[in-house]
Formats: sequence, C-alpha cells, structure tokens
Amino acid sequence: MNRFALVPLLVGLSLSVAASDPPPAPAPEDLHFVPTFVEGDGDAPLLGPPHPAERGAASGGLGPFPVDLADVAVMLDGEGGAGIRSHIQGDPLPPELADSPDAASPGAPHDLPSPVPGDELEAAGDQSVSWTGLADTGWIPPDTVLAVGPRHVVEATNSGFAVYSKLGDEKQAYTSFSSFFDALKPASWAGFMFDPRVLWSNEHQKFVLLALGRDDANQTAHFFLAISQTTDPLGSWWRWRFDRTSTGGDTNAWLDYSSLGADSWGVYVTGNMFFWTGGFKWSILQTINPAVFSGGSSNGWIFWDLDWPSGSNAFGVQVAHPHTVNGDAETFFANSWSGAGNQVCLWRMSGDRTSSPSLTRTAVGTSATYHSIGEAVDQPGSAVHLDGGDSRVLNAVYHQRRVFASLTTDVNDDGAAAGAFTVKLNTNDNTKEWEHLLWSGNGTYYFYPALSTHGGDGSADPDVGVYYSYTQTTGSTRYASGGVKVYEDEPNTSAGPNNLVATGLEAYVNYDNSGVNRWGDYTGAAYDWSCRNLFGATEYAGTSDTWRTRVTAQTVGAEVRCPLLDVTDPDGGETLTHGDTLNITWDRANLNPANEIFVWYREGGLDHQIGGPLPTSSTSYLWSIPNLPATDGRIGVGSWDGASYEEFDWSDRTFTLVGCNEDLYEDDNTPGTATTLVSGVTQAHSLCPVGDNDWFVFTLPSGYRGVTLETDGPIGDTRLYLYNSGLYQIGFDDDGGAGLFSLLARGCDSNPLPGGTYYVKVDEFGNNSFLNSYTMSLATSVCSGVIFVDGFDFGTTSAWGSVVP
Amino acid sequence: MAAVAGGLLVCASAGAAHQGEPLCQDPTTRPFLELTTDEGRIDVRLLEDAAPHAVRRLGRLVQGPLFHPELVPDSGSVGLLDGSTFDLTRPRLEVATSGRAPAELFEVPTEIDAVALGLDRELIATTAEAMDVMQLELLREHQRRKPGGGATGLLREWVDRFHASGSADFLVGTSRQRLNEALGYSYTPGLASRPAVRGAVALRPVATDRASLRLSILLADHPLLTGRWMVVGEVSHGLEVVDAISLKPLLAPPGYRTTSYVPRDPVTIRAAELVCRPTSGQTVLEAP
Repeated sequence: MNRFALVPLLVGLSLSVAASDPPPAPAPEDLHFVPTFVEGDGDAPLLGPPHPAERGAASGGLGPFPVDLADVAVMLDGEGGAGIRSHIQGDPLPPELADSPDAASPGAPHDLPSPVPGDELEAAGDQSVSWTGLADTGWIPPDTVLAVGPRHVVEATNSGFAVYSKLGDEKQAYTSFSSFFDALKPASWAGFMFDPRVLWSNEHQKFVLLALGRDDANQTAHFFLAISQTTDPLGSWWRWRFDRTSTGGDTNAWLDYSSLGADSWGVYVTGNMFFWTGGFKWSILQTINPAVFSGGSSNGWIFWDLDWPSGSNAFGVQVAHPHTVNGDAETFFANSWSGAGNQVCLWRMSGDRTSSPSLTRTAVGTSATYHSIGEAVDQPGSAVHLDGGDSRVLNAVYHQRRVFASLTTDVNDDGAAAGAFTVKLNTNDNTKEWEHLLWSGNGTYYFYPALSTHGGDGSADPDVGVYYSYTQTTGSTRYASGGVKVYEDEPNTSAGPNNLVATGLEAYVNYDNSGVNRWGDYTGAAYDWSCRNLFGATEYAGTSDTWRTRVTAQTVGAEVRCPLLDVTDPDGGETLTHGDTLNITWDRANLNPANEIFVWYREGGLDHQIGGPLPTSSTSYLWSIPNLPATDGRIGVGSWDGASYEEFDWSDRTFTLVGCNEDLYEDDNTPGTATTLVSGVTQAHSLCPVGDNDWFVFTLPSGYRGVTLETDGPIGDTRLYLYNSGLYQIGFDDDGGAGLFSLLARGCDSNPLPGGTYYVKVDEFGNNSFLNSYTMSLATSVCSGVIFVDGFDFGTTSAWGSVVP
Repeated sequence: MAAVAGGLLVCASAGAAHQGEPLCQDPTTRPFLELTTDEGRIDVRLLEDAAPHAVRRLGRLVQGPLFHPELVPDSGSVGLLDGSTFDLTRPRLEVATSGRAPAELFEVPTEIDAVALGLDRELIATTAEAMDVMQLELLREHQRRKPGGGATGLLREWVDRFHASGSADFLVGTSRQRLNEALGYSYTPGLASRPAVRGAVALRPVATDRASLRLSILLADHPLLTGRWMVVGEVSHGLEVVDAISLKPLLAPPGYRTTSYVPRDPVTIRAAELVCRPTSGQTVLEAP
C-alpha cells in the first residue's frame, strides 16, 4: 500500500511560494528574528561573528599577568596555574568632578505604578505575556534572573533554573544546579551553588548560565559556567568549573554576588570576595576565552583587588552586558558605592582578553546622592521590615556607547522611601548623560531594580525597562510586589508607563540565620531580540511567607505585540504510533486573524503538511498518525500570511514515530494480486500500514483435502477469511490460533474442501493498527472415502452436515 | 554533672565564690574548664584577667547549680554546660555551645580593653582606607539602625559629615578603638584582653555591649572579631577535638544565607567541671 498518500510531500524550504501553494515549513534554525540596526556613534550591530582580530596572539604591553586557565580534558576545571597579582593599568581619562550632592531634594515623586486588575496577576498595560515563574524553592533570597532567546525563556533562582516557551509553557521544570553541574563537582564536594546569572548572547546565539559554588567544609570556592550548544536551552550544554578559592595567592576567601557578561572578545565574570572568617576582601574580574562559545579553550585573565581611582575598594562591579558591539573592541563595567555616594565607577577593558587585557576606570559623578536602604523597607500588615539591600549597582547594560546602570536608594536617607535610581553614562567622554530617580513619596519603596534596553533601533537613546520590587504602606497598600518602569525613547525624561506586574498576596516574614528578613537580592531583566520585548522576572510575596516570581514581557512604544506560537504537544520526547490519533496542540498570542494556520510534520529532513488551513484562533488539530516512522520527528505550526510565515514554531525536541514496514508480497491487497500459498511453506507478512489486508490464493487438486490455514507471530491480532473461487466467503476465524492469531481448519473427517481455487484474506482486528510481522501457512492432506450424502454441490454450507464413514 | 573537685585542686564552692572573688582561691592556681564530650576532652584555661566578671560568672554557673533550689526544686547541682551540645558548627571556623533558657538570665556585660589589644594604635592610614571603613562598616551600621534608630552620636556625626562633604578623609588617623566605639562597642581599661585567634574561647555577643554565656571556640584567626568578641579563655588541650566537632555533618545541606550550621548529630558535653591547676607551664595566646 502506498505510504501516507493523503497528504502532499514537500521538501522545499523556499519562502517565496505563491499564496495559493501549500506554504512551506521553515527550518527551525531560520526562525529567529534578525534585527536590523542603525549604527550610531561608531558601534557595530551586535549580530555577526565574533571579532576575529581580537582572537589569538597577545598584543603585548604592560598589563596584568595571566592566570593560566588551562583546559582539563573534560572541561572540568578552567583554572590551573598559580594566581599572580594583576594590576590595573592606570586611569588615563580624567575623572569628572562629582556634582554637588543634593540629598535633600530628590525631586518630585512620580506616579505610582498602575495596578494589575485585582490580584489576579494578569497581564496589564503594555504587557504581552505574563506567567508565574519559579516559586519558593526554600532558599533565602531567591536571586531571580532570566534570559530570553529566540524560542525560550530561561529563569534561574537559588538554586536552579527552569525553561519556558515565550508564552510561559514550561519546557523544563526546575532543575537544581547541584544536579545540572553534578559531574563537575570536586570529588570531596560538600558545598552548595547559589547566586545564579543567566544571559542570552545574541552575538553568539547561545545561552550562558553561571552559578557560584561554596564549600564551607573544605573552604573552597568555585564558579560553574554553562553555555548552550545551540539556541535551544533544552539541548546540550558545555559546562566548566572554575576554582575561585585562590586569588592573589590567597585561599582565605570565597566568591559572592557575581555578574556575568559576554561579547565578541570574551565572557566576563565579576564578584565580591569575602574572607571565610568574615569581612569583605576584594572584588575580582575574570575574563574567559570566547572560544567557550564553541566548547573550546576556557583560558583567561583575572584582576583582583579592584579599586576606585581614589584607592578605595570597588564593590559589586557589574558587567555591562552589551546590546551592541563596541567599535573600539571595548567592554564596560560599572559599580557604585555600597553605602552611599554620588559617583558611579565606569570601567573599560580593551586588548586581547585572553592574553593582555587592560583595564581602566573613571569615577563619574551623579547629581543625586544615593543611600543604601538596608533593612528599612516597610510592608503593610507587618512590623517586620524587608531587606532592600545596599546601594550597589545591581545590573548594567552597554548600548551604543552608553552604559545604563540601576541601583536602590533610600531617597532621603531616613528609611521612609526607597527609589530605583537609573543612570546613563556616555563612554565617549566618561560623563553622566542622564539619571532618574523613580520614587512615589514616603511609604513607597522601589528596590532591587534591574534594567534592560530596547535594542532594535541602534540609537544611543533607547527605551529602557526597569523591573523592580515594590511595597506601599500608604493609601492603596501593596505587599511586596513586582513592577516595571519603561523609559520610552530618548530617556532624558521620565516619560513612559509604570506598571505593576505582580501583586504580593501577604506580608512576608522569613528570616535568614542572621535574623534578616531578606528579599531579592536581585531582579531579572532581559531583552527579547526576536520579539523586541523587554522581559522581566520579578519577585513577589506569596502566602504563608513564601516568595514567588512572575515573568512578564513589556512591549515598548507603538510596536505591535510580538506574535507568538508555541507547539505544546507533541513537544519532544514522545513516542507516537502510526495509526493512532493525536491531538496536536499549541499556544498562540497576537496572531493576525487574517492569517491561516498550517500544521507540519518533519521527519528525516522531509516536511509534510498535515493540516490547514485553519483559523488563527485554533489551538489544536487532530492528526491521524501516518506511517512515516521517524526518530527525529517534530510538529510545526505556522501562521501563514499568504506569502510567508509570520510566526512558526516547531516541537522543541524530537519525538519518535513508530511505523511499520511493508512486506515483500505487496501489493497483495486484492484477490487479483493475491499471493499464492503452497502447502507446507510458511510466508512472512506484515499488515502495514493501518488498514492493510493481505490476500492469498491456493488451488486444490480434484478430490477432497483437509486444509489448515494459520497465522502466527510474536504479537498481534488477526482475522482470517476463506473464500471459494467465486469469492463467496466460506470460512472465518478470529482468535483460533496462538494468542490472538487465527486458525481455520477444514478436516477430512468433517468438512474437507473439494478441489478448486480458494482465496484467503487476512486483516488486523479492527483495522486500527498495524502488524509488523506475522506468518501465514497452509497445510493440506488428502482425504479418502469421503461421501457426501445430500447431493448438494460443494460450496453451499448446507451440504456439510454429515459424513458417511 | 558539674563538680568542683575535678583534677588537682578544689575550687571555691558555689556558695563561697562571690562576685569579685577569684574562682581559685589558691593564688598559685588558675581555673580551667574540663569539658568531657562525645568526641573527647577539651580543656579551656579561663582568663580571669581578661574578663574577670564574665569569667567568674561563667565559672560559677558551670559549677552549678544554675538555679536556687528554692526557686527551682529538684534542679540539683546541674551546671550551665552539663548536657549542653555544640549546636553551631562552622567548619574550620568555630563551634559554639547551645544557649540555655531563659537566655537573658545568662548574659554578661562585655569586658574588653582596646588598649591591651592595640586598637588604640591601629590607625586609618589613608583616605582610601577611610572610605572603605565608611562604606563597609560605618554606613552599613548606620543603615542597619535606620528602622529603630539607636546609632551612636559619634556614628551619626560621622555619617552626617560624610554626606555633607562627600568625603571620608576626616577619618584618617582615627583609631580602630574609636571606630568600634562609634559602632557601639565600649571598652574597659586595665584588662588583659586577648585577640580572637585560633584556640580562643569567647562568649558569643548578643549586642555590642553584652554577651551570652554561649562558649564559642574559634578555629581560625578572626581579626574582625578582635576587640568585638569578649575572649574569656583559650583551649589548652583538645583543639583537635574541636576541629573534629566543627566538621560534623550538618543537619541540612547548607543553603546560601540560610546556612544555619546546625549539626545533624550535635556533640554533647557529658560533663563540665571547673578545676584549678598550677600556673606553671601555661602559655598565653597571642595574635599572630
């Protein structure tokens, strides 16, 4: 029987077919949106291959000494040789004088965030998607971060991560770092992993995941790094472990509060180091060879004892993760004073990151003085304050020669209000270009802000989204909630919406062992390069003193919300069987209602359109699974606008489709093509595909014969039909054979068959499944002395009533 | 059960050991705590000259009884540490005994002499160091006290001065003693205070001016605690036992910032005895 003759078989992937043609399915790797850039101020678009000129040989000159981070064969430990103290090269650019502090005049309070409807936590305002992310994992604090790739959102907290579609469908449940990095743990490991960071490197089209490791019993410190091998975080990852027990020749400290960034020239990890016995030691900055993006060498450099130009310790240095590629091959970092100040330190790295990087920094003044809020965040319904942390820079982003950074500040240094302070630095001249304090008067607290920029237009004045935690004890009170402020274009003002995205449910009290009611320590913000949305992961208070997180996406300006499609079933890992019916399902949002949905099946590089056109409101399709076996099957669903797919999604992983194999006797589906049976010869057959039937024919010489027809096999359920030459059915059996197989016997002593031609049909019981293997056999025996007494011709059943011995 | 006889000489009985009287009446002897634990014996030489009131109160309570028999009948002569456990074990850093309820009854004022520890001569030398102290110590404490107030006048003055000028340079030349006093610590002259180094036995503080009677045995040098934790003794025997106790498996896998360092099977102090031994052959811990 022909294979799956009811659907057209398409192989081509061209997108330029006529609207009336069945639309082709795009390849998964072609699906990510490729943004266009307008270059500005010398920056190059972010997309593109890594910068080749900065790879390889050292450029020489003075600089920090390398730490030999030689690879171990299985990429276990990225560090080898002894640490040698690295020195910052200098401070060639003059620091800008700080503006006068103006703590008493923080500016007018701004509007309160617009609430979500009720406490239902639904999308509001300009949100395009919103879903409940990771919930209380038992850790204090959660340390929420996220990254957004072409198809997936990776959210991480202490101490693990989960993967979602961009519509919130959970693709990978919470996976602890302890299990994810299990193979990399040192032999005597007795530690734990914490302080996650995750980012999407649009330049390399990979996810990067970082977790710190601390082993108190052995007093060792590490960080663990993973890079997805494709755009798919559900697939394989490269993983490394770096020993951070030793820096500067000492082994008396551990690594805390790292940040993570990546660009053409390297991967960057920063962090604070604390003595095992307590107290801050110094900040570090480590570079890692960008070859890790292809699973290659992980060598790099490390700077430690970072300090301000004045010589004081730098604290909490953050990588300004790039949204554009710096035209001068520079990477930027930022930090602030942890207690109070009116400066931000802007760090600039250049040179070959793996052999001779140089690092300089400049203190840039801010107009406002910021203060750490600490354990002074009020919440309604409880006298217990939340810990809002200090005034360190919480995250930073590089965008078209600008560095944006955000931090929490106690607005009047009296614990009565906290604000989210955002600053924009111009890296051309090391000046502050803009700053804004988001606050709403006493009794309101914005804390743990994290920002991302809108990267689509290549402007030095991008939209900026700042996600934050929020409480309010006056007026319409708010338990610890999540919100987002969007500074639309030209962030020289405060213009733009300010929305709550997750509403806290109760007061939160959950002390750590130091007696601190911790919150945060940070919030997640990320840019969606394919949908141009600003994503955030905010923490909010659940019931019974638990924390929860919510992932939301924010559209910016007048942009159309990103159309989204997500195949939810089958989504990979399943085993489907030919002949079954599967309800293919998908989520969709913001699709053009004028479009049409088409459904595809991919196996072995071949694409088969199996459904459509369907309305864009559809979310499922019943599929009769064809006999197209595959170990790499995927289902694709696309929104076809008549010329191309506006949106398309494949199953995230492959599934197996179990089919069947036609036997060598096909086509034997009719009496005219029946296979000849010979007594004593067993034939091997299959019933494939579903609905198949096999016909046989045999001829008996004159006289009478005893006849036995039998099917058999390892498993299956057959039916057997016997016909005379006129194709009148003269016999039938269902389960007379072994198991559910068939056996039809016409004995000499009861009802032998006279000479002539006979036909046999075998099919599968119910005709709703296939049978990959069964045998068919015929056995005949000569009968003697058999006399029919009724005189009727053979072939009429009434003739078989009695036999004269 | 606590006993006074113990090793070599009998200490003053509980009834005779009044406030201000030395634990050992024979001037040629010094008081020791002998802790018999599941893991072995730990001897602690008590330093009456370092914190006389605290050490004597500790000694008397170790000796027992804890409560007056008329107030708590049938309490026998159980001492402070009898049957207590090491319920805080920070690997390679510290072990501490459990507290007894009601905890507030077992608190003592802090007795530390900054001069004896050299804190008065430990000066902020550079403007960079001054800013570090401002950011990482003074402003942090100022921030911590925001909700309830309570910052010392000196701390408020310094923070205000920093905010007015944007500079912490005025702290150059300030002693560590003065900095600690701004943070709320107070000092008593004339004591032979000891640093918080490996082997030191301190009383865990409950505030800058008072400590609990939970014994904390330090297994590493803790420079930040010198001048802040009241050292009342030193381990003279069995430090390796303390090391082993510190490495006992913890109750739950450590969690960042929720790490409680509670051992799964706490080591019990079967008996704690106060004994007096001759002074010969003893050494005194000094800062490295």
